[in-house]
Amino acid sequence: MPATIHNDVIVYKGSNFLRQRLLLSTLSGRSVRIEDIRSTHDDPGLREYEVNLIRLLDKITNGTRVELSETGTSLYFQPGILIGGQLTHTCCTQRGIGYYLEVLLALGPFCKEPLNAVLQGVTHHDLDVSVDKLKAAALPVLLKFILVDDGLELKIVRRGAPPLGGGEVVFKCPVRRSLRPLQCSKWGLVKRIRGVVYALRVSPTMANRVVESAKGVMLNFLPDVYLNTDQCRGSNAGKSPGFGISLVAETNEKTFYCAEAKSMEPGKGESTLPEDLGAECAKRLLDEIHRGGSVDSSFQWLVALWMALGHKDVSECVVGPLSEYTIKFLQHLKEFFGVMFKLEVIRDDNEESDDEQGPVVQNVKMTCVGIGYVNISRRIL
Amino acid sequence: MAYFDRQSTSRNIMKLVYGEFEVGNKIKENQNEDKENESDEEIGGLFKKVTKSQKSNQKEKEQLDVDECSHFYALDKPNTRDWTKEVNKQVIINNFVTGKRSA
Repeated sequence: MPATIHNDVIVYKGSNFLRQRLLLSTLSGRSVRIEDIRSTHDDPGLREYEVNLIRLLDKITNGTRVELSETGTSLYFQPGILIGGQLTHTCCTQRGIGYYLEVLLALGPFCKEPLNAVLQGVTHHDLDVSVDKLKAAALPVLLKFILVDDGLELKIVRRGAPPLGGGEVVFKCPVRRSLRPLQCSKWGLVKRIRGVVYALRVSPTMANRVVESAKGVMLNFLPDVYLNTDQCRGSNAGKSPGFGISLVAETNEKTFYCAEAKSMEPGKGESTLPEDLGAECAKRLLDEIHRGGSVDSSFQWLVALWMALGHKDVSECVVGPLSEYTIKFLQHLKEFFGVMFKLEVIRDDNEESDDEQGPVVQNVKMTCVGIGYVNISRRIL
Repeated sequence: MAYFDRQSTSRNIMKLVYGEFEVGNKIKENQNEDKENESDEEIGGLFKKVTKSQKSNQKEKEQLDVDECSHFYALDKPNTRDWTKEVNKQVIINNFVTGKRSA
């Protein structure tokens, strides 16, 4: 739904994409008002995890003003100045740490002090990208924009499965004055498959069974498959039982695709067979590889954000088919920063001939001129 | 599946993303047309046909409070193709270093 603007405040309706809106609001310094948050639901207003997100944003900024209506269905958010620095945050267990970490990752380079955040909560969640995926696929993307890696780090201290969580990660991010433009139109061929299988508070054989089936599928395509098992013990295993897998495919152009799967939450109906889980994850990875693009489909929006905020120079990036989330993000980018991307569908001539093999993948070339966003709060020596 | 629908219908990706933002007369014209149409499309004097704008409004309303999720297949889990089948395997085998060089 397109936004309306009243007195310099951008007004939205509905709780969807709250995270995008608050993130862009913080970066652009423009206030937002969000109305009709679940106003027709039985349980109206903001959820706990969304309030938790606002708390986190408040922690890394200075001068943020938030006004919530009595029913919680209307929110006014006036962003402050990004500070960053040391912080510890207990994330809401309704969502994964990934939900919060993605925001920190997007804001990290623009803080005053380098971010050093300790996040506690659920490390693997169905709705959110897991910390393993962020570490494997998102950090290399940021590295392309900042080039020099001085302290970009994501450390998984403890794992925690839903519903109780108990996991902990440490995220460190350096600050930059501005981001470099990105030219990225090739993604090469997949050269190796790596992965992590974790088993929390379940029999260690579960992990081995997952490894076996996932490897079985991947070996059809590539001999270089190596999966680690992470058998967590004691407090390192969090508070709830669960197991899962994340597979990473690395190409010879340093593009990382990542797919993941995890067991069902305890007490939520059917149980998960480890063999099925491994095969499912492998299939998802192959699907991701099939779609291609020089960035994992979950992080298209991050690339779009950093491209738009880069130098006043042309950035270009070819990605796989745009996800629904990215499309919405591009619309939001236009509303907050006035940046419009040029999008072109690239058709592969080789594939066009064989129509029987299902729909052809539509890779999209995104081009834009950065707005020259400068990190004003960063100290210059 | 939104993604598959899009793949078969959409031609212009710019329009897909920024379509509703189009400036100027085009959108206004459409709205006028819609209004005219609304009044005369009654079936049997009893039912009203759902107009395009109403349909998209409905869709937007459904989207309003959906949980936010950045995955590619956000909340719906489609059946992915069985890549181990020989036919499907041929499609992606060249995305690996072990595939054909020229592809």
